[in-house]
Amino acid sequence: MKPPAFDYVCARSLDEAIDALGRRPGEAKILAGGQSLTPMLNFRLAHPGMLVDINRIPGIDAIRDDDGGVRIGTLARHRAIEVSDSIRKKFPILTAAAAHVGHLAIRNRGTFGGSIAHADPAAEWPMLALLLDAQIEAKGPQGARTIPAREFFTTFLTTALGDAEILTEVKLPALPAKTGWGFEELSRRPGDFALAAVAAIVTLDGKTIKDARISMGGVGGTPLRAPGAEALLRGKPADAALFEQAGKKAAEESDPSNDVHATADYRRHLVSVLTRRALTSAAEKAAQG
Amino acid sequence: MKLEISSEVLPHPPQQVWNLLLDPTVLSRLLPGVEKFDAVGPDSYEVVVKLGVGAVRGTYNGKVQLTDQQPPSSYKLKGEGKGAPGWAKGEVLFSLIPEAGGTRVNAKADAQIGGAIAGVGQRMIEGVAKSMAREFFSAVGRELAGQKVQVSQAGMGFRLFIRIVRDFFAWLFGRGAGAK
Repeated sequence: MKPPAFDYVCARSLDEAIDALGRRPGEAKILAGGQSLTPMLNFRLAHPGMLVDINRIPGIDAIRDDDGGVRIGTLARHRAIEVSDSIRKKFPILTAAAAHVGHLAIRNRGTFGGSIAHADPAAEWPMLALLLDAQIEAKGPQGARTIPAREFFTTFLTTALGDAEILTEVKLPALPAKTGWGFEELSRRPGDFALAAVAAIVTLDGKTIKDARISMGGVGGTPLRAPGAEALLRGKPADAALFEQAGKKAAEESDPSNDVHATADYRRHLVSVLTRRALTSAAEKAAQG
Repeated sequence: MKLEISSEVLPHPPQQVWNLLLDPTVLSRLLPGVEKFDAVGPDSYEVVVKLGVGAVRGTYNGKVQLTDQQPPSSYKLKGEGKGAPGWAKGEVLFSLIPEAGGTRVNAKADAQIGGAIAGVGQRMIEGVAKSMAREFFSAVGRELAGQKVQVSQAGMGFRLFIRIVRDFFAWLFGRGAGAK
């Protein structure tokens, strides 16, 4: 359980890190919290020639209010999100989901930006970035750019980021009034990756669903939205039968696989049940708020 | 791991699809990560592929054999390979099914995987295999659509294909990634 040999660069600024990455294109990896990368190194599944440590770059771990929404710095630890008052107030779905991210020791060290850039399809932050229409900001040799979450995740562990680009910050735009949320995840043991997870937000206008968004994790190569189920919900009165129907539609829109933990059919069934529960919970909260 | 994947209906007759699938020069282009595809005997090849997702990458060495050839309807690709992240062995039965408007290719794989990849990457292996198979089938479709040159050495191509598939699976196996 020892990693293969690698060169190590401890960057003191983003520019220094980008410069180091650019010198070894395709061969260098960013070390943030290291909660995915270190096991991959120790299992020798990854053999990067160089690690660029960004932990000592100042000012990239801040959680800031922004125009009703929030900006989360790439190096913000999972635990910082879990205990942030600002996040609890504006995006309580993140507070709830944070409790599902590994275990406390992992949350103390692992980072928000690291999880999103790692792009594990069963991880919580990528599916929530997709749900909340996050704007993902990156900086590279060609300067800074913003990538919408929908264009960010391309396949298993793969994103739109270039070799020498660093995810710097994630902007979560403000949610409309009368919006509620639901987050449902099933894993065999707490802290394991989800067999399936569903996050939903519902915006009500009286008893009518003005808007609904559904994001699914662990049931495809990337986190997935369920556009068909979302369309089914829009403009209709919120009720149990509709949520049931939307759950079935979301299951059709998922693309799960078999592994030793669960069959694809079982995962699809979970999507249907978890979607119904997440929507029910989201609509209840929307009605209260 | 068992996996069954079908292509879209390719608007070409089975014989033409067969010729393409068995052409090693075409396959080495269409299959991901192939670095070496050498014939070492009748319907038998030595292959080297470089495959991976994200940071999980590896080079795999292996052998591929094409057996049970029933042109133009089916063949079996048997393969085994290993690399730093793990090993894989198995077989894939390819069936070329004539349908209205063309041919559908069906691949039925049964593979065993071991090593770190199998343990840590379990969760993603099948999904990665599926997406690679889909990509390969769509590359085959594009190749057929733009086919100008007559394919040659069908048997060779077939073998190549088998190897590729095998590597492909090895690659898949090799890819999973780890814990949070």
